Amino acid sequence: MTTTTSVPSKLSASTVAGHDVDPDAPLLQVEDLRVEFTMPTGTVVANDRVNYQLDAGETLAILGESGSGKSVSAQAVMGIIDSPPGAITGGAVRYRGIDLLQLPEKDRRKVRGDHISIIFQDALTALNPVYTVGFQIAEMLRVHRGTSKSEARKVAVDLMDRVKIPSARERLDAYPHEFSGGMRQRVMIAMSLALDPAVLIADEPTTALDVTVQAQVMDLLAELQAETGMGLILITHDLGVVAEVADRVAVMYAGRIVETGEIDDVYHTPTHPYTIGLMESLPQLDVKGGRLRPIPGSPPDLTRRPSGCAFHPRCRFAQQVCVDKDPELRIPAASMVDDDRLAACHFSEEIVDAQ
Amino acid sequence: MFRYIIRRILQFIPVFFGATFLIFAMVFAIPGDPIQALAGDKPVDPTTKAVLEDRYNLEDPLLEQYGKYIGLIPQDPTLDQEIAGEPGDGFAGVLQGEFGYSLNRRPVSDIMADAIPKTAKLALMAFVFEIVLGISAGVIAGLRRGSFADNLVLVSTLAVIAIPVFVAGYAAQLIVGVRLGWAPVNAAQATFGQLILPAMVLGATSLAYIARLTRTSLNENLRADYVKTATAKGLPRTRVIGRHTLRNSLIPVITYLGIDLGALMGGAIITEGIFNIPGIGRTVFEGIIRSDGPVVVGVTTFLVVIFMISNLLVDVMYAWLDPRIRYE
Amino acid sequence: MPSDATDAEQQMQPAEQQMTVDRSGDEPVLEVRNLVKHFPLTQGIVFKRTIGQIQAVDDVSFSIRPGETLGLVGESGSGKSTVARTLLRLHEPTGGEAFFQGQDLFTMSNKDMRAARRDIQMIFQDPYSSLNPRMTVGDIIAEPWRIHTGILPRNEQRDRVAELLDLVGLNPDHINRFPHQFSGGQRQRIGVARALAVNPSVIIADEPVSALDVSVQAQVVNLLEDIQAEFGIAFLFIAHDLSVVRHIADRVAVMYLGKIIEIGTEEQIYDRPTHPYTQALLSAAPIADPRRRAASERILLQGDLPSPSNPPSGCRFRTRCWLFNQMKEEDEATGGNRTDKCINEPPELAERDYDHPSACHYPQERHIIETVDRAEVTTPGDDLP
Repeated sequence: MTTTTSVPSKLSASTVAGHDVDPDAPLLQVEDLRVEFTMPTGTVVANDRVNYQLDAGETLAILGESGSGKSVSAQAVMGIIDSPPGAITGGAVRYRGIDLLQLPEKDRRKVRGDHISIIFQDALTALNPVYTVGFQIAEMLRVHRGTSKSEARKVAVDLMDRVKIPSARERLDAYPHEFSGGMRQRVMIAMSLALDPAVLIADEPTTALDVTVQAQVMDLLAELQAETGMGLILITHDLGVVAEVADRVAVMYAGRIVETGEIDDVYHTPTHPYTIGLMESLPQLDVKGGRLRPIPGSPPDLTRRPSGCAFHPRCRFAQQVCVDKDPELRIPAASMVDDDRLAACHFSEEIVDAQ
Repeated sequence: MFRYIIRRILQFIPVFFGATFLIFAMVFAIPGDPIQALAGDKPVDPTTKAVLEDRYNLEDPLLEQYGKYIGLIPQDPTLDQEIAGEPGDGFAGVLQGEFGYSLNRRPVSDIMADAIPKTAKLALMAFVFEIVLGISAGVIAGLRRGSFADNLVLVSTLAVIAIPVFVAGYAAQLIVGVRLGWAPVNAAQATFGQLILPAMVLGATSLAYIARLTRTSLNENLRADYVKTATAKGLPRTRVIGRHTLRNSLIPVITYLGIDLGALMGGAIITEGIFNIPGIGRTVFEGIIRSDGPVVVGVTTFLVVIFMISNLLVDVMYAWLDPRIRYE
Repeated sequence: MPSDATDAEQQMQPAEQQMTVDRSGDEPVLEVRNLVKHFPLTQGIVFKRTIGQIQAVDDVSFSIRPGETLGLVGESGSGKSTVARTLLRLHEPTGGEAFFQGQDLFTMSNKDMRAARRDIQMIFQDPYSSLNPRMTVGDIIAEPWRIHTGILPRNEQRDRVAELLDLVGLNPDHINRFPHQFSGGQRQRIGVARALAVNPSVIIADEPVSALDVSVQAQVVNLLEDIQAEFGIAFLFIAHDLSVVRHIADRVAVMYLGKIIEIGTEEQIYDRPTHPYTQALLSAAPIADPRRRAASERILLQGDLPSPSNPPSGCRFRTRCWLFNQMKEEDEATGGNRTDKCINEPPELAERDYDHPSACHYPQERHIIETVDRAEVTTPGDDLP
């Protein structure tokens, strides 16, 4: 969906919440983000040196297993980390060149929902059970735009139509629990798109849904993205969903991005052993027979992060250097197939050469 | 919603009869002869005794007595009326608004009419006091978890819960009333000014529970996904708390308040005793001491009704606050 | 797909499986006939009256042979978990029979049922909530021996627990640890060890890997395959993940709204599906390869699952069926009435024109997935040390 011609309306404005934008800056750029959680057992670094960039119309997938820090990074971008115990302790989140982390809360708030929106995995718990869906959608316009109550309701109906909720007008005054899982997620999408954001973060948007409904929702997201030209960050553990919709992928492990690049290249020439391990352990719909090759062990408890490269206890390529030294995210040298690739492995070149 | 309320009201019918019958049966079973108790140490004239026992239906089987009392079985003409050739009373029970006569021949409804307004006033004042202060303290503590205010609320409510009412009541009376002279010691007329101190004593324990309940509930809800959504929508913090957190957090508090309203009405015995308030608590207490069944049963029946009404209110509030339970 | 694919597939199976399990022409170890489970739907102000039935499972039949894995797939609300629970009589069945070693589970005495529960073990989705947090792993695994006494003398139990822990890939030294000290995948291994403790002949696994991370999921899938090969246990493998089911199952049954709508071998279902729902399901499942995406056009189903308390007349799938819509459109042009049958007549699960049963009046084979053999797929790590 990179070849979209439409451009989000948000991009024509020269200021965001009263701050001047840098017209040459990428839509969203996360730099060296570090997020820590203070736990009774010690400090957990949930995000460490997280870097990525998102352009308009692009879909970036952040792929990771539980505890990889993928959702934390999304919440850090939104500025909705539970604090305490969580805190962003370093880095920058630049939206069109403006570092959101440096904005005062009153301006930061205006970016949320308006410029950058998020949808969550479980719409049943993410929507407030005691208000009608109409109220919750209209609230975006009422609060951000000061739209009148009746006008906001009209827009809410339009939005519900747009996400293909049947008989939207009648369902405006229904409560979230009266919708099916797929319809609820559509309500969530309608709400997040109310103000035509330039960036939409979808945090496991289809994990709670059945496969046929998942296909409907992913289809809808792609369609809406093509219409609006927004940038989409898709956070998921599902390699299949990533392969279907993403342009680029960032693979996270133990709070770090371990590999990032164009989707096709990463899937076919992975340069990090964790990415390779994920591919090999995945049963695939169109592959029969044989035996899966799992990654041994389990993802680390971040309070006891392994020394050096956090993946080394599970890695079949690990050497002494992996125990001693945490590899930087870097462009693997010489033999690389593409120049958009970064990997955090001491042996990326050897792995590529062997393939 | 309407169906829901109807259903709740219909459920009250068996509860009403069950509860009043139990009370009636238990009072009936109180050992001792009420007629003898009335006469004190003097011997009772057998004729008088027979007249009295007949007037209060004391000779009938328990179920029949209950039926007559509640107003489902017509009353027999009493001996007095038979002698005078007057007809019987017909249906004259609780359902008809008749609570019978106390053993000293005063209508129980009169006794209740004297006592109820005083207790109601006291309970209402205590109720407002505990709601306003309890919820405010709970919200402050819940929003600033681990802060000084939070710890203060936790420690002070623990202290209040730990101190029994009779200790707190006498201490308040002694310090605020006698030593400082800020409040009247005796509240016999039950005026607003007189009832302030007793209301605070009466509401203190519930206040502590409400504060803690609000705090916990708010704390829990602040971590809810939909609060995160509300923040992510770019709503101001005041709206995130006021609109999206408080309403959901108050649901358990409302439940507690409903139960508490009944408890305040019926549970003021000690407070009324300390401050000498002639409310229903004291009336019941004296009725038990004198084995005055009609008074005890009358007042407790009234309390049962109060409990049922406050429960209905809770259910309605509950359904209003949480749409998920409207449809079952 | 040539018909000798089945043979090829069987050669692919680990050789040891054929050594320990005699699969030739044996009797089914579990045979379910016309299983029905309805839950009453009640309403009423004072007196509850039954106003309807949730038809969770309606006329479901299947059989499993020793050492075989039957995959039961379907979306939430399809009734697949109810099948499992009813078989173990965690719900009382509304109707039907379930023969286990020739005896009907549903008419058995409680005593016999207790014995049968020993032979039919269950593995649950959430390993954490199915393990008592206050018991050590040793006690959890040994618990079946306290219920079904006489299997193993008390003094041998500890050694056997250690053996089982070793068998499922856990450290036998951890016998005195509690469930919370293990990761999700390890807890599922404990669940497997507990099931194995009584040497069952059937294991019903209800979404056993869906709560696990991909890298760990593969470990448990391999473990299940290993124990099946070693002990010849029959599996009823219930899952919503079509890829996992394809990997582990020999035969597959697809459920929709309480009914099995298509059943066949793994190859028949995945390579030659004939029911429009199976086809849509396969088409909706994402393929984890960006080069293979959009290889075939996606069949998108409209709407959500209808309520099982009031399923559509005739064919239950027709309200969302793409084929129904397509035929209706064509018929409107030509004046045909093919869809009347879908509306009025519930389709039997039967073989019509094709080699495996499908509950569609108008089955047609449609190629959805371009299947490759794992042996032919070069995964990036293959050439690596």
